[in-house]
Amino acid sequence: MPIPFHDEETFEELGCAGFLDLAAISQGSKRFAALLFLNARGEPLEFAFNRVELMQTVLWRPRDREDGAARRLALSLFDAATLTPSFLVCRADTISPHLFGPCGGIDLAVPVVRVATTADTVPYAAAEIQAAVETLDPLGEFQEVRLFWSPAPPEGAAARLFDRLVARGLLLEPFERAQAGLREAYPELRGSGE
Amino acid sequence: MTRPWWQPGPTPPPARGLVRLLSPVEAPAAPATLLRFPDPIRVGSASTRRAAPVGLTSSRRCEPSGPAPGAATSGIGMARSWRARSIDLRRLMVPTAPATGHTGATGTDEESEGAAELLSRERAWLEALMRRLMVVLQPPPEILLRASGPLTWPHELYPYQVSGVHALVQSPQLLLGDEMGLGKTIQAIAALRILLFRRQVERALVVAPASLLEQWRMELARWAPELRVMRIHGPSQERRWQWRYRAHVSLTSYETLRADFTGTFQCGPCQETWGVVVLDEAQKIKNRESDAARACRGLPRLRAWALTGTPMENRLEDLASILEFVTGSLLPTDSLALRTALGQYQLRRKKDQVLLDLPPKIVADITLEMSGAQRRAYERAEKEGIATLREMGEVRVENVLALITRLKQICNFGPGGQSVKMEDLCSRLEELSSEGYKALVFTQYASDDSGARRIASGLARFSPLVLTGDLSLLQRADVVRRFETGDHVVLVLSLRAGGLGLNLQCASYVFHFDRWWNPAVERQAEDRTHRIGQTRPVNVYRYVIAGTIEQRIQELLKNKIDLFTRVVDDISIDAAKLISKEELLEVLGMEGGTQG
Repeated sequence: MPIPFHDEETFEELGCAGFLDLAAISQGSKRFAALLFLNARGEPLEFAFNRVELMQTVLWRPRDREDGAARRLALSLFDAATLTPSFLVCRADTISPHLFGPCGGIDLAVPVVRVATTADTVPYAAAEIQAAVETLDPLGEFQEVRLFWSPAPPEGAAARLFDRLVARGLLLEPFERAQAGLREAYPELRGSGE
Repeated sequence: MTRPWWQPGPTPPPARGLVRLLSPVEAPAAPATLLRFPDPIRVGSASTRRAAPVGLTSSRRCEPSGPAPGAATSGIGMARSWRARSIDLRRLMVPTAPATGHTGATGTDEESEGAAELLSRERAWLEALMRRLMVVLQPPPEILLRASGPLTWPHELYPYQVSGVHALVQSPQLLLGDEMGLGKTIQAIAALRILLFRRQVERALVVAPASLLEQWRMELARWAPELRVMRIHGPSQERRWQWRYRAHVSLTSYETLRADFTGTFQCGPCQETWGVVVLDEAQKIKNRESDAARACRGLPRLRAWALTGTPMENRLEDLASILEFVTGSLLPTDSLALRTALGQYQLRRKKDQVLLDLPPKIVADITLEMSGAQRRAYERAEKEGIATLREMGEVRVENVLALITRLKQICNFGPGGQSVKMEDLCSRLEELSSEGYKALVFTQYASDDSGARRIASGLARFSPLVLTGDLSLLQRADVVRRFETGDHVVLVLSLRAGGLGLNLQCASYVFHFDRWWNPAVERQAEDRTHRIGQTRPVNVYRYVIAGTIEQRIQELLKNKIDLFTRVVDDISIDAAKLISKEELLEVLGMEGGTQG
């Protein structure tokens, strides 16, 4: 009878996933963002964070101000991080489908998946590949999550890493951890979200 | 050198000066626990970081308190233990005197202790015999619900609740449509307990929104502590044995039921005929074609109870879907047939009919007038928006709604932060806080510009708490606990996040900072505080800005709602879905969508 067994190296080979939360917390005109790298067990490997302050100017459309801030935040976090993720996970309701990709603000060499619960109404681009998985929410309840892959879902080790994260309920929960990290990093945020 | 995994794209960055970027070096000291981990293995071994996924932790916490799967499970524990013993009638003849003596035992303390122990044991036998007789004699619910009856209850039920329990016990099919706050959950639990106690039912299934399952579990532990309760959730391999586990009451969410229901006898929900299936917040199955509605209707069941305070939200078909679950048959959707079915299967009581001791709810509209910059900004936005709509040619509903949303947000806060509503709210809260009252402020927006967080920042001196949809359920529970126990005067809630499943009787003032399309949603929000346990009159204030879109929408909705009060005695429809595009355009002063 085969005995399931995974040693440490098996997990290391799978690489890590990056969870990018660009709209983690906002406070007035300040925008806070975080990039959290997790391995297949959900253990944190690296955490990068930053904030920007929007200029209060009437010359810019609000949407452009937000998009520009998101782009600058993402670039600064990628620059600060040392790890290379197997894929990047973002919340679909906070990141434009056009931020990454040839026509967007940032060109990525790794797949990006935007995730959303079935209750969320999210925009998506025609080029994105849609899928759905079942995972656990933070309360341990069964939940269906919609996926928007760009340019395509990963294969090989990265695909196995994604499956492990889904099985462990680690598709949405890391964003809460990233927000907790931001609150620890920025004392002025400790009372927010209450 | 290898190409990095990211590169700036061709889009030019925003102009310099638009964004002030703080490099990570400039940022505050990084949290030592999170910033960088040169040795992943060591990181994993640290207890603070080796946190298991929250979901897994929660699932352990919510494991059932009853015996492990596979243990003897049928029937209620006390009754079963009786079967295993032989009744010695001679022992039952011993009088149940107080433990202080009079048993004929004289002499040493040891003898008297031994006698007391014997008496207490025999009293327990007698009590158990009484329970057994109650099972055999099948007393009516009225006796079982009495404080002097064989069952212990944490509180005495109100008379209308007793009649509700009676109706549930007697009716295999019932739509319990009591107004919110009247204790539908408790009535259902009491009825389940009686049916299980009388062995009329072996197993029950409760389907509820996921956010309410913990509340159900707590109420079951309080009102029916002897029942074994199983919450069905988690990964599919765990749910398989959870469905098989012979609990008295199984709890699950609509989502889990939908996922596990296949309609075959092999699937978890259909492996056995349920003695009772209870749907809490039954409006969840209002869409008869949804998978959840199909799964509920497909459950093998002897009794079907639906609990909802808002039986009809949008359309008559919504009501029909719930009644189809209750009756187990297909119903026509014409209003006459539905009214007939409602009369037959629905039990609905309103607070003013049954809770004569509940303090009154006083609703008042506060009509304010904008001035200065806020008024100018509103008029400019309205003028420009209408001009844009006219230029568009074919106007879509989404465009109209977007403009209405923008105008409503200006009614909350002007571009410079001016807000006549906020001024009025602050002055009222000053007075309330000095008298020791607490208040809830509802808004439909959560944003920093015009929603809950903006309102909270304006109320900083009242140490507000904020409850919005972006908080997890655990965080929401923590906010509610702090509001109840702390010195916070005001709780600002987004309407959708704070409208369901919260008990906030500690507040007696409710402010609607802006109006929602659906009056039933507003009423649900108000009933978080106007419910059993409230000892003070509840004052509800609804802000409306005169001469604006807010006032015009309010008048339009009032006319629409009047049409539907003839079908159901309560206003529980989403009037927004009954408004045509032409009517929306008229609200903006545009005639029937024609370009003018």
